Amino acid sequence: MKNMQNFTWRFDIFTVGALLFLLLMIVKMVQIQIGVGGLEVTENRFQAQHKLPPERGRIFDRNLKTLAFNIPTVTLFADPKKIENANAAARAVASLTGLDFAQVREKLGQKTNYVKLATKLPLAVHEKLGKLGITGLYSEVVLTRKYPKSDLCSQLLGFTDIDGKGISGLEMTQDFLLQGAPGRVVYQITANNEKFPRIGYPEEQARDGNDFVLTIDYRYQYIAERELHNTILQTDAAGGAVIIMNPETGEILAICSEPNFNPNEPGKADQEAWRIKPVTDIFEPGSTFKPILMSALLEKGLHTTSDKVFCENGKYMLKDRPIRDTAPYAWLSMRDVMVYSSNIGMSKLAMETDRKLLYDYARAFGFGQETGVGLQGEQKGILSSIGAWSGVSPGFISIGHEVAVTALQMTNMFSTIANGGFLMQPVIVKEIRKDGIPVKVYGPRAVRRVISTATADTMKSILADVVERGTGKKAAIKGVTVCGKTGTAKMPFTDRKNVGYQEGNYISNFCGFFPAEDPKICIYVMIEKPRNLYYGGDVGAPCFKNIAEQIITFEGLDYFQSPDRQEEFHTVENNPILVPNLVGCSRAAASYAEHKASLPIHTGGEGQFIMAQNPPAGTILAEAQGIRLDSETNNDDNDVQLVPNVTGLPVRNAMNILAVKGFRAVIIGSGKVARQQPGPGKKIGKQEQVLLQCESAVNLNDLLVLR
Amino acid sequence: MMTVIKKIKTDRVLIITTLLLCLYGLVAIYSATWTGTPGAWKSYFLRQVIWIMIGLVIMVFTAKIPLDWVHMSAGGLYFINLCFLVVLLFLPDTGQPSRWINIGSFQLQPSEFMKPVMVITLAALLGSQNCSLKKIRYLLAAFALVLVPFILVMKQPDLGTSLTFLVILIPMLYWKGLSLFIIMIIFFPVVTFVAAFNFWTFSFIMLIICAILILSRQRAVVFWAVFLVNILAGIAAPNLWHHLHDYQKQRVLGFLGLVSDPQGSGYQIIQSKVAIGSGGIIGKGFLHGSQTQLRFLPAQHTDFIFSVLAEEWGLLGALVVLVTFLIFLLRIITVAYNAKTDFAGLMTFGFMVIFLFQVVVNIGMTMGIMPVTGMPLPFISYGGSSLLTNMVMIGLIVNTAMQRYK
Repeated sequence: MKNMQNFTWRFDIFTVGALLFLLLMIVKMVQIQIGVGGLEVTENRFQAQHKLPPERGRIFDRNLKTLAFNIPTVTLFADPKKIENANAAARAVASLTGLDFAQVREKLGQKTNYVKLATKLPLAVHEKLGKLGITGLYSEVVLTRKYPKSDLCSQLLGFTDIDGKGISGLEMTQDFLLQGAPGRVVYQITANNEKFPRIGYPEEQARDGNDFVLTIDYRYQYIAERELHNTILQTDAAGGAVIIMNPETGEILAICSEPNFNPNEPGKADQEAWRIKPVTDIFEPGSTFKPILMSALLEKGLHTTSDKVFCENGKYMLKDRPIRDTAPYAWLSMRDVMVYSSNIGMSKLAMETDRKLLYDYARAFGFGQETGVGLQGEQKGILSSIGAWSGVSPGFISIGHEVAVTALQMTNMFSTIANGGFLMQPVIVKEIRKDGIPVKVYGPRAVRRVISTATADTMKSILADVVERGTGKKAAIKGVTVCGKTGTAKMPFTDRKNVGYQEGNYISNFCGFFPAEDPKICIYVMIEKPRNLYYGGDVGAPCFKNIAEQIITFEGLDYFQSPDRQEEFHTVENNPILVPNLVGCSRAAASYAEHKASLPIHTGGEGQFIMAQNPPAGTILAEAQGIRLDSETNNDDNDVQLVPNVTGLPVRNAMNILAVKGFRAVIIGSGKVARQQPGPGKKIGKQEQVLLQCESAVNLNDLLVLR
Repeated sequence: MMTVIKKIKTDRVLIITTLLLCLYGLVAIYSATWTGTPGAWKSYFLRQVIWIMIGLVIMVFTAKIPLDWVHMSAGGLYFINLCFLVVLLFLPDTGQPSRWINIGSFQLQPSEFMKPVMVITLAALLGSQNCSLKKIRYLLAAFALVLVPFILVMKQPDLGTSLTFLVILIPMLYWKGLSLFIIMIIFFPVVTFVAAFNFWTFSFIMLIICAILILSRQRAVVFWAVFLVNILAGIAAPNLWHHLHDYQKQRVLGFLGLVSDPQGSGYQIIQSKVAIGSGGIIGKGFLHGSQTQLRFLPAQHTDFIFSVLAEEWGLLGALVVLVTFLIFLLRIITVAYNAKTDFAGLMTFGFMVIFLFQVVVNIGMTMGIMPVTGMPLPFISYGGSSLLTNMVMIGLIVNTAMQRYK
């Protein structure tokens, strides 16, 4: 080396430089490995979070019968861009799922990379599709909400959308408790877009939703729904609602309304049907509102049950407004004002007393406020403050007009009387459970005492009289003392054009509870726009009775004060038997009638149709007794025959008889034969015409309703 | 007696560090190509073992041959290699970068062999008796020697390797004794080249250059020459930029942090950083690196082998690798310093530069502080050509070291 001095510093500089460079790298490496800096941020672009869906909480009735749960179903979707042979794929999908080939083919032809083909498919599809192994077709197992009792409790439960989000009912209001919290798995995405679980990342398990145990008893619910449906069918009503409540606890045992829907297929029903009508719909109750003023007057000692009121013989002008009673009454005791539901008597009492008393007690019974039951869309109804009242308002409010209430408020009011004077907090959720363990239990809670036990007892005796001898007779049940009150109200116009009340459109309602001695069940029935029959005592009361009898039947002894009363309940009523018309019926129809009317029938003759019967139709038999029928065949070869009497028979029966005799029937109109030409007993030749003039006769006597 | 021990010691450090690095490489390759199914790893692992065996034989051979022969055959080696590079250009276009020549079942990479040949050639030129850097023709000759393979390899295209040639040149000139001023003059165009993408940075750099030139009281000719060259570099830069391949642009921009392309070139860096970062202090353990085992790392048995080591062996493992390299490199530079002849010293130093450059660029790349250039990590990355070349260089360094003490 020529100049070592120079060379040495070159060596040093270079060595130091190289060392510094390596040092820099070590620093950088420590930084990366000991983890300072935004690694997480950069990482996130290459990891995908996969949500682990939680299982939505189930809903049970009080007996832990399942009302809502989840079943695994298969969702089928495709990436049309990855599908090689769209025809083959569409054919496979069509055969697998039963979908229309053309529709599937059209979807697979779309220029997108995601198309949903079908949802809610059975699990088997997932497996079968996996075996086919068609690229671009995917299936995913998802949990789908299922309501095993289909339309039972539908409005109360509500339903969820396809993503499991509550849309109506409890599913919506309790969504935050039902839905649970999703877990997550973090996937690392490779260069090939494959996913691998991210090792070293905690896998977060999904937390399932809370289970709900409702106060609903599915049996009560079922009975309520069926009877409500039957009543609506029978009365040709527009709708209705039933609530069954335990008056001691405020627990709602059944709550239903019509129209109804199946929450498994909510889209098929009108949105109207989704509402929980007993809390969302308000109406003027009519006479069922009367107990309020009555209990107020008794509670304050302003009147006793025996105080007399003059009822103006059925017609009364309250200032300029007419008030009518269904029957003219002169002097009625306070008790009988309730028993016979005198509007005049009640409104006169109301006008006499301080209007504040009526208002205070209406509010105390829970009107004009939400019950706080926690159901979606609950209304508070309308109870105007005294300042907004007109001169006649107390009179009308006392008989259930100028107020609007919900069915639940009404039920709660009667429950208050039933349980001895406590307004209870209505409860629909009994327990909230987490992994089978109750985390929240809703016990009975009294909101306030409204009336004293003594007043409640008096009211119960009055209401028992209503059923025993008053407007609510049709609610009476043998062996059980039933308390109740009927109500019938014309429906007010809801549009702005019309003021006043709709003619012919009624709310018929009945609320009752039993047994009077220790009320355990309170049932409220409300029927909207019944046709033909419209009085609460004719529409609501029988429905109440049907529900009550079924409950009593399976609940047994609990509701009877003594064994002999139970026997009374079970004795078969010895009703007089009305002999049906069997003339003109076929033999088969006659034997069916025998079965139905439990009348032993003895049929003579070989013919196809019944030509005569004894005793005749319309006879009332004191006890079951045999009926003789004659099914003569026409062996008479005479060309001229006597025309039989077919007047009053249903047209079909009349035709049968004429055919047997060899006549031709010419029919005008439909229904029952009103007139026949030629008349009975005339002789005419075979094959000649008999003119039958028919009317779909409505027996006015059948419709006439006497209260 | 002392000298004998010293001689053996010198050999030992170099050879032991070399063998250690090979061992690290085998461990990492085993893990990087481990698939969990028996036998699947064998192809890479066993091949690397075979390459190491062959490499060691060649090393022993090159350690024994007289250095004078190497000195004299430098021109011939250079020419042969150049021929290979030219041949590569005329190979049928496969759409892939044409870097390899197939010989039997093995693939050889002439540009890889060109690195030591380049060093030997430059050492032969600069180490010759009458060479003086005061004479401009030696400088020009040195530049010309580098430029030809530089262009040929860049055409392949292989920017990383071709840059290596340029990188070799400057330190070798420095080692030979080129004044710092001239090195600065050579560097200026590179700086202006980069700065030229922005007018203000360009102006600023030009001002500094002018200041240095004026303060060092250079002649007017030098001043204007340097000034013009820098201006030209500044003008050329944007044009040359457009001639770069897209992937090269991406890499450079990605490295500079100007673009974020996490799906493309940035992906490798990010995955590599995740791998290194997830290793922590003690690592995840052999065959337990999730990034490695799940193949998130591209080219993990070749270019990104360091990430595999860092993930599975942690900071400690990475430091062991780095320290081994440090001892290895320092030993080589010591050999270069003590070399008996200028040629041997320059050659050894040039080899050291190659190793250093590869280590810094490769490891820097895995940590995201260097662009992704396809540079292998010496002795550790899988690959025969690289390993054989490195073994040849080690052999020649050992040769130099032994001659020193003859």
